[in-house]
Amino acid sequence: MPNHSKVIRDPIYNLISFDKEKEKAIIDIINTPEFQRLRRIRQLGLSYYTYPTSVHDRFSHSLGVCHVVGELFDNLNIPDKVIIPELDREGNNISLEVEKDQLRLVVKLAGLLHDIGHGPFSHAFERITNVDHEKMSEKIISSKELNILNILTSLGNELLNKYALKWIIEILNGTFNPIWVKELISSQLDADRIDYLLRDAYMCGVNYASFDIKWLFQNIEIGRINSDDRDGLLINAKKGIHAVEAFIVSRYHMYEQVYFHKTTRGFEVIVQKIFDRLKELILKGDDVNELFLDKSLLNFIENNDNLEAYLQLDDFYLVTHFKYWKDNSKDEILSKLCEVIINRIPSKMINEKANENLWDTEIGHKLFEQLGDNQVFYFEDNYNNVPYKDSYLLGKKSSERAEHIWLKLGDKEQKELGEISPIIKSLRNNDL
Amino acid sequence: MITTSENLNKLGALLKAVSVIKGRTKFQKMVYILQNKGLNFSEKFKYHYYGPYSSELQLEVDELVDREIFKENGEGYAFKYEINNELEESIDMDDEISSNIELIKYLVDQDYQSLELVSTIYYLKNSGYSKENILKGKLNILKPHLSSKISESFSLFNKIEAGFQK
Repeated sequence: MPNHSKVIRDPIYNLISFDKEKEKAIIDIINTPEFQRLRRIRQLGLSYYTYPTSVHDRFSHSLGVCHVVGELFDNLNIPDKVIIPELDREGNNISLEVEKDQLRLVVKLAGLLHDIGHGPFSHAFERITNVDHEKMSEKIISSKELNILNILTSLGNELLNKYALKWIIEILNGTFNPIWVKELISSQLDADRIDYLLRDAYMCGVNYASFDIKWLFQNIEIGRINSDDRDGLLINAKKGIHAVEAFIVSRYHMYEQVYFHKTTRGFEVIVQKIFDRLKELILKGDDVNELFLDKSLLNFIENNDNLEAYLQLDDFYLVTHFKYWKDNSKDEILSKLCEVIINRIPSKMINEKANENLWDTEIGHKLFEQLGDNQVFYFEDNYNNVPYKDSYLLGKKSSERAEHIWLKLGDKEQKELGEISPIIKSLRNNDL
Repeated sequence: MITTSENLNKLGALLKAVSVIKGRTKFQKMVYILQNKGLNFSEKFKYHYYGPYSSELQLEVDELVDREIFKENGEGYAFKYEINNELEESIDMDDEISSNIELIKYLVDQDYQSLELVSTIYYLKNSGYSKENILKGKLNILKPHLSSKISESFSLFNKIEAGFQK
């Protein structure tokens, strides 16, 4: 029997499948070098120093998001034809009628590509290079020198050939209309969060992410958000509240136990310090030929528009350099910092406080003096340094309008989740 | 690299410069516009229904409220932010804020919807939109609830860009 689907095994969803004909573009994109690169970038950075099996990559996460957003899409009350407002060349509004299946493909492609611009050790890397992975995603997707642009402009349909690229970029940068489409990929209840929570928990070997995804999807619909006067995602309060509560509680547990784990954070800050030291040495005028085995990282630091250099950078590239610097760098600080990473030498936490800089205290000053030449190994960490920031949970007051999760209580009444769920209210007022 | 302490101090200096900012939306849009005018606010913004929004910025404002450097009072559906005079001295001077005081005072006098539109114009320009007719068209798509203010917002945007004269 002919096999109409490309099927991939996945520990979270069992099987992820793509229709070889209708979703050929997805399969073609997966096979591009720029997408395959995501196999070499770990989803959770150095979390495997704490949870040894958390070695999954952005590749599997991106496939997962593509799959989940498709499932979510299929469960929603989307009409057979969707109107997408567009502009003609003079800037006048035109309304394009898009078939549901066409929009589904665009949304799945956006899900697949949402992380394509990520670099290795993303958070630390972005701070040193001032690069924004979302802007890099856009560059990679729309580059004429790469492969994805060509795939997105050859979808076998005149409308999609003309607009798919633009729409995917707009979905990813938030300016797509109708807004509920963008919310499927980026909101408080999106495919990205759903996949990474489930995947990260599974691969870490923890049982914290436990929520009923199928029941959640059964009870989400698109409806009019009264306070915003626009269409958006609404959850059936009576049937769906427990599923969404479980989802938020999962986020809380993962945040506490995995994403903000002190051991992992300690190593991530050391990577940050390696990059900072590297930049200092380059600025000092140290012989850069000695510093680098390959010029891609240097080229990118010098010019963060250099896409070719950027695409060479992955976890393997950087870890190879860490190992090289540990053994060969003339700079003792760089060498010591790299030794911490290569030989896994965890930092010790001295103190944990809410809203207080240890550095401002007398103890901080004395400690710093005593450290002497080892001052580089002293650091403070806070919520703003963490790659995964969950502002819905960390926020102390009522959630921002931009981050509301809306529940439908009847035909007309709508409330934000935090207003009616005592569990969520309690979580949001905790000091994380 | 800007530290969290530097970010918090900058926000403190911003509020100190104008004494009061009414509304989270206004606060968000002011910071985004100032960032686009070259001030070194490091927060990342993403586009949401009400325009560019930074969850990072909101957490920092919450922290300043927790530390009692900011006072936050509900006024209707909005929050009003003021500096706590007793802790004002904990905020260091910020050169960028000092040298842009006229612009900052001008922004704080605008209504939040105008700032929402201006910040959206900046966001769209950063996303590659350049021609004014296309920008206006896109703004009409994104902000149907503010369509009557769109033309006016371009005047405001141009004034801010031109180095701004009252």
